[in-house]
Amino acid sequence: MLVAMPAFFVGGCRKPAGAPDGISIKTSITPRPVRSGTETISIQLTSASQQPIAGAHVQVEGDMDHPGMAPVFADAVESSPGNYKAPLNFTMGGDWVVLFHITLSDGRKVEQQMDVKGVESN
Amino acid sequence: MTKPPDALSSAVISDEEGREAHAEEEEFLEAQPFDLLTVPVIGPLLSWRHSRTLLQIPLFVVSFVMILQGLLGPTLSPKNLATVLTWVHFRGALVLAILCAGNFFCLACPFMLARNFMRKWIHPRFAWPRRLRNKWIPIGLFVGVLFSYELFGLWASPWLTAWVIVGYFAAVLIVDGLFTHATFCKYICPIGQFNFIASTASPLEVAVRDHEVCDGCKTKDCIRGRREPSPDVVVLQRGCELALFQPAKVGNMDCTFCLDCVHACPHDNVGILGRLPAGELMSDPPRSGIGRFSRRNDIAALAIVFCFGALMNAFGMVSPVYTVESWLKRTLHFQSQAMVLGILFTAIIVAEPALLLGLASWITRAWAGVKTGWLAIAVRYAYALSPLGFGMWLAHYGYHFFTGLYTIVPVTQNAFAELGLPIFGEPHWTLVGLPKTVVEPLEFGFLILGLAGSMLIAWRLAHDDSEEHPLRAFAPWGALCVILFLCCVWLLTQPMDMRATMFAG
Repeated sequence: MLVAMPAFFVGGCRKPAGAPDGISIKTSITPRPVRSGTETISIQLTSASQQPIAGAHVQVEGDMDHPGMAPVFADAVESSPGNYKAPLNFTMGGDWVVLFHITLSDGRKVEQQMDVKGVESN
Repeated sequence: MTKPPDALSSAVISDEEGREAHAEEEEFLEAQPFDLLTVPVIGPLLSWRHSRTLLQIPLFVVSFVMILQGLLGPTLSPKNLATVLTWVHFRGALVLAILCAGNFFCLACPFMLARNFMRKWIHPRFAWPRRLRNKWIPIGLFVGVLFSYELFGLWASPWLTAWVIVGYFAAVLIVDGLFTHATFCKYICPIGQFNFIASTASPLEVAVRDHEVCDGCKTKDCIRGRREPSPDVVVLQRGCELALFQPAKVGNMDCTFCLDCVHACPHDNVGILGRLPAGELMSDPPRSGIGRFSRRNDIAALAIVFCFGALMNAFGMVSPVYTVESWLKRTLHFQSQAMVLGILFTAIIVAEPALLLGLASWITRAWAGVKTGWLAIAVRYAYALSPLGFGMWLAHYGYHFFTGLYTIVPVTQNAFAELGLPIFGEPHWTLVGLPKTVVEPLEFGFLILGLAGSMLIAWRLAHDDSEEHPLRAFAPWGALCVILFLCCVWLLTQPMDMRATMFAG
């Protein structure tokens, strides 16, 4: 079992699905500096030909970088074609990692990560 | 400083002294004390010669999995077994086991399984140098671990966490591959020292059942072990590798609960007995393998670092620490994170206790008429701080443990799903732990328990020191305990703010 384990766990090393060829994902958060509480996350999806990608489902997940803390989730709403906004509740100060789980209208899945360092406590 | 006693030669203190030391504890337990080894199922299991190995194997396998996941698994700390198990479950379960029972994590130590396996082929040749037979090295390592935890944000890095575990295995194998007995446990291991000082507050202790049986014992197998009669080189059963001679052993200091003495005793006279938690700190008897606590400046320093380290470790996780660090950075024009952190550590773990304990000692000496020197007074009363320190560790680690209790479920689900074996289903990331409203009262309960223990110990020591003015002797130490308690309460009420990047924001 011990000998076989490395082979198993190498599988765990594979990178999450990145952006498919040509798709551009721009993420931002406002306002700055980020404080604990609900902040707005913006996501802009564009194709290789710089056309906005509409109709995607974007789920936003926020994790503290300390294990054992509750993650927070939010579904983004498309405010204009290709532009999505999600209200994410940063429940405490500290370093956060925001994950974007994106499902395009044709069913393809895209993952993106954004580090949000030093969220300030209120 | 008084030299600590030579490990083996000092281990055998007369049975008479050992009996006297136990008399006080026995006052609290007039009836036959509870003995875990007489409990059905648990007792026979622990009495089985291979019980330790049985407990070590699962933890060894888990350690191996943690190393692999830490190095090869998800890079996000809350999704990796190495970080989740190390910084949420292991630390919390460890302090809770010590509070509820005893030092059972040393019993199940996976590092010792690797070491015992190695020693089947590699027999160490050297004795640990006499001048190093004290706690100064592990105290330095303990502080080093706390410092590295803050400096490198170990909790946020599965990769670094995995290397800490690998480093631990390597250190155990190197030290115990070179040096005889349990050198690593007694003179190196920072986790072990944490467990030793914390378990002075445990309700269970490995101890002799009937001292009269020991009076008639000729072989002293509990410390010497058993060997084949001829040629007397093959060890059939180890005696205590930490030089604790059972009839004169007092308390849990230096005891890894390895149960070698239980297995070695030919009279079945060693048990895991119930006792008054922290009662061993209320008096100062000679202790086998240790000597008197009041003559061990190094162990007193360990108790101080244990207590003030609890404050420092919690301080590093709340919002005000960043205000202080930014102020230090601006005022002293430091660019180095390590230097700012170094100043904070020096202030909280060295300067603050030196000032507070020095002042309390001076008042005790001047006001209560205690004749001994201020350093001796500080050393004697330093042990009274360990229950309060333990209360703070419990509050801190217990918080993470309970609020993140169920996170092991989605992380394990994810580990299998990532392998293409989603046998436990898709990860339920919303599964976290107990609500804060439940956990926060527990935190304050741990702290109050610690304060009560510290106050009681200080009172008992003060009563012994000054029969005429026990209140005067107690007052400065009681006040010190209350001040530290209030600091702990303040820390627990601050907003949490966990940053691996100290200068951010």
